[in-house]
Amino acid sequence: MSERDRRDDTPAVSRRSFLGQASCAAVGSTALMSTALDLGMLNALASTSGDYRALVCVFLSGGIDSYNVLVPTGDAEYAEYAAVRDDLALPQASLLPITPATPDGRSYGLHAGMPELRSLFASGRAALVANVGTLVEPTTLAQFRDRSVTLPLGLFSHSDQAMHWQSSIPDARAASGWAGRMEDILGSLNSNTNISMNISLSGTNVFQSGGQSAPYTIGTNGSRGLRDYGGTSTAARARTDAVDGLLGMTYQHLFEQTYADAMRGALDAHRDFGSAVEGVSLTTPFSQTRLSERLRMVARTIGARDALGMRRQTFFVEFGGWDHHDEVLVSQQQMLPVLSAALAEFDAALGELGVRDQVTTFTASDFGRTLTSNGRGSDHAWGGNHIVTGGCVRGGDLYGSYPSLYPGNELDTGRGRLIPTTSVDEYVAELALWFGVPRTDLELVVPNLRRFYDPGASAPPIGFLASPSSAPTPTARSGSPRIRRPRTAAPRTRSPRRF
Amino acid sequence: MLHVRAVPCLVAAAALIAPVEAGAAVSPREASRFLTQATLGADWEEIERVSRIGYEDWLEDQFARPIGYHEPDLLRRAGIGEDVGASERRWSWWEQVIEGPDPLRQRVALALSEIFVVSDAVSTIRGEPIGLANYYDTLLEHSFGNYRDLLRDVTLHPIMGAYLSHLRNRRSDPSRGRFPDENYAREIMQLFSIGLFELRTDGTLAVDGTGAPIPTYDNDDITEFAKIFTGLAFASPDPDFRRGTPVWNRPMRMYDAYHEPGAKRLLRGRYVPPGQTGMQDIDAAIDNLFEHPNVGPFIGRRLIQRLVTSNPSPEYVGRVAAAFDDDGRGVRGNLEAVVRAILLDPEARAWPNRAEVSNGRLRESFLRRVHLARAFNASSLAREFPIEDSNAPNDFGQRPLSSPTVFNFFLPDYRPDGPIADAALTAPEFQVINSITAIASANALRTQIDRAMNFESDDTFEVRLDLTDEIALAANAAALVDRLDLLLTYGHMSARTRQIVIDAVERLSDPVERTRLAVYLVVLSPEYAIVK
Repeated sequence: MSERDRRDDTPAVSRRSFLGQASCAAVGSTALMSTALDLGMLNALASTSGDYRALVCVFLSGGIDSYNVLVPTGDAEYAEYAAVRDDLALPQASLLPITPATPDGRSYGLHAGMPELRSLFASGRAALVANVGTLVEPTTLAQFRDRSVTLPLGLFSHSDQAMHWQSSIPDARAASGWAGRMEDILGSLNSNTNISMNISLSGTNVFQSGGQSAPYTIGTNGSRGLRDYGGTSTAARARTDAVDGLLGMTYQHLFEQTYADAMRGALDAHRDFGSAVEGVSLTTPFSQTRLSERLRMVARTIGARDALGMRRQTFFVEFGGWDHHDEVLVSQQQMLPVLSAALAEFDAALGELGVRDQVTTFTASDFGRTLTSNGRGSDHAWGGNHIVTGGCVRGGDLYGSYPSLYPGNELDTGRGRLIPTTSVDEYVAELALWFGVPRTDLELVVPNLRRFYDPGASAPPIGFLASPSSAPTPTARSGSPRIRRPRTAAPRTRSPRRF
Repeated sequence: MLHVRAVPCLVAAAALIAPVEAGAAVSPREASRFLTQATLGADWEEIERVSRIGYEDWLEDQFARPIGYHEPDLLRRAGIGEDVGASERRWSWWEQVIEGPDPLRQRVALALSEIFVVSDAVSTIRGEPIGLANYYDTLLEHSFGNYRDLLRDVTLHPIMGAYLSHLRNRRSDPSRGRFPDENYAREIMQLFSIGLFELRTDGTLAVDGTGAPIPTYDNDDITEFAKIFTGLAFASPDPDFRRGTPVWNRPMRMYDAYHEPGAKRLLRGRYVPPGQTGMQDIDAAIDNLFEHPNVGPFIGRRLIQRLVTSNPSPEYVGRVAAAFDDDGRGVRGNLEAVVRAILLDPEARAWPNRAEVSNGRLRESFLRRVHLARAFNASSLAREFPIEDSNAPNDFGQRPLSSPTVFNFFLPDYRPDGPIADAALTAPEFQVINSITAIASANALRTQIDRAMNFESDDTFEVRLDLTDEIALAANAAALVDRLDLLLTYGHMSARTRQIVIDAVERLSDPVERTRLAVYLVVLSPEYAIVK
């Protein structure tokens, strides 16, 4: 076994954060761990308490026209909507009415293709967050116009805005994602060292990059193994030994080493993953769409969490094709039902597994689109509306601030490109806190957060995940100092990169 | 030129290739390495030719070769009543890539298809295989032509028009609050010509007084350029902007009634005056972008990355950009000069030093499949290439002309986490390598080696590698591996990799099995994956 094959399995006790058993425990509460608790006790708790949480990112790549997902239905607001959207307006009567728990004086409807989402919303397991987007700092139209604020780099560009949503660092082209940074803080809660906390159903992505272990990619059928690897025939043994030899060497060339690590990591992870997930089958039916099949695989992986030794996981699931410069109406008519059904099927599968409270699913996208039409579709814009589902979601409500839609309104930078009223940073912070990132570490995950939200505040950043008043706070964990190893000091030995 | 030729491993291999004439210009291993850059994969025929006539003459010969177009075979099939779909287009692609007369041009065109991206992942384009082949032929045609003509013909191609939605893009309608589609205006600048930021001539970022990069355009520029790209629709026999019969293999034409009237602001202080025809506007905009000083370093760096190395030095980019700016005869944008500059640059030609840790590039995942096909003369008894590649996007993470987005399979600045990112290097091709593709591609390559490149009920159509010459050597594992080393790893395989493969081969007895295992292990090895 070569030097690189040695896994760093030293328990990083000081980096563990004890977060209690109640999954819907307060996002706003202070999560502390006591150094008085010994490791054995922590592990015992972990294995028996069901302390498990997963975040599932459904990335709608291309930039979804989400002002046709959530539409104001009151006559006056609908008239504004219809006027600005022109040929892109959905018929008023087609919209599926929803009633947010917190009235804002407006009434709303969902796209006709999303009845399952409406049911989730009505049952309190889905929330909507209005006009979210990338911001470096709070931005007004006047500031935008006189350029007195710093704007996200590459505003309105796919590659940049998708990166910023996934990095939560819009003032830099950062390759490190916020799940990657969460992995630095929480990854050691997982006992499995062959499989990253971050699992992608859609290959390489920024969201999960930059952590101590690279995201682990699986397909709709799980992991893949090398044919005949580990077989017992003479030929298979010769093959296996040679593969091990080629991948086990130390390469001076960085590219060769990276390539060898990718293959080695994939072989090692498959050994654990394949058998663990094979044992999980679901009776919940899923549609035969790629999105549904991916989410089914996510559910099966969650079902294997104990066998895999996982207490924290993120999943990245891409659903592409939303760049509707043309055919936006027809395309959304086909694609939104796919999204709606898949979210509901996933929710049902989590119910079957009994883990609804332990999984939160959220949408993200490059950007929203122009309210105005180009005659067939809409163009790249900025703020957009998003969906959060899960048992801990304070569902049935609309969060953030749904904007006015008339041309030239106080957020309109032109053509109905709306300045976001809720920053990606706040959205991310809400999710990260629920996931168990301690408030003291929150700025490691969302470096610019303080421009929008005081990480020490008692109120949550947005509030769409269970609040302090609605769930019990972890008990008997106050007063003890919590020790956290700063990121810069004494980093763990890097494990081989896994892809 | 002095070359190290006394490499014993070449002896056995040399016996199986056409004799290299005395006084050959280039050693076989240098020729083989050159061909990893200049073609879609080295094969014996080209190794022999480069060795014999040298790099420069080989390039001149390639520039003059007839073009291996992809559309004619589809038209032929359509003409005799055969189905012509997305599959048949791939067959045509494979035929030209394996057997075409112009391996350098096929290489450059594939690189251009990863810059001027269109994709049959979009159903409209998947349904127009003849149009898509015609688009690819447009890239082939201009591979050694002028970049300005390339940019114009790409802009006017209906496949691009459908992909980036400027086909049937209309002038604004203020009464209804409608504006021109901005899609093409944005991507022609961001991806096809100048990029997001001002570049120095060596491709490094220019900065302002505060050290910040300087954007090349802002959103107002995009709305202006969006006006330019209005009024284009099919060149139909029944000309009608909105309802004309689709014609996918001829340039779009201008319908001036649908073109935005009035003056438009271009970049760098230029304007188009009011009253011009739509096509005059487009030509002015193409010229405006073409003359931008960013184009040479922007396009040059991308082509260097595809052909030679992920991390060219600024000096290398600068030399290629200089060739773009002036081909030596005062012509700007001559891609023949750019290709020559990229491949003959000292940084491309220097024999790789084993002490270097970041030279070269990761072979594109799918191009391992192509290289095997070329190196071992893949063919079927029927002399056809009905290769579907239906699983390639999952297995390899890529398939030509099937990019998931206009941003290609990988971004030019992608850096995988780990030592490459830590060293602030880029390695674009790694973006499609993950725990699925790393393994699935190896399995797919094994199927290609052991069995065939496709599955056909009639096995006269199965495309198989020809390993006859290798099998003839298989009794001698060292000779077998040395031959593969020259063909696949340009004689640069390390002693330890060589030994691992030899040891494995010697555990088997059947010559066919020995050969297949050797090819598989070489192709799976990290030293094959990275072309230095």
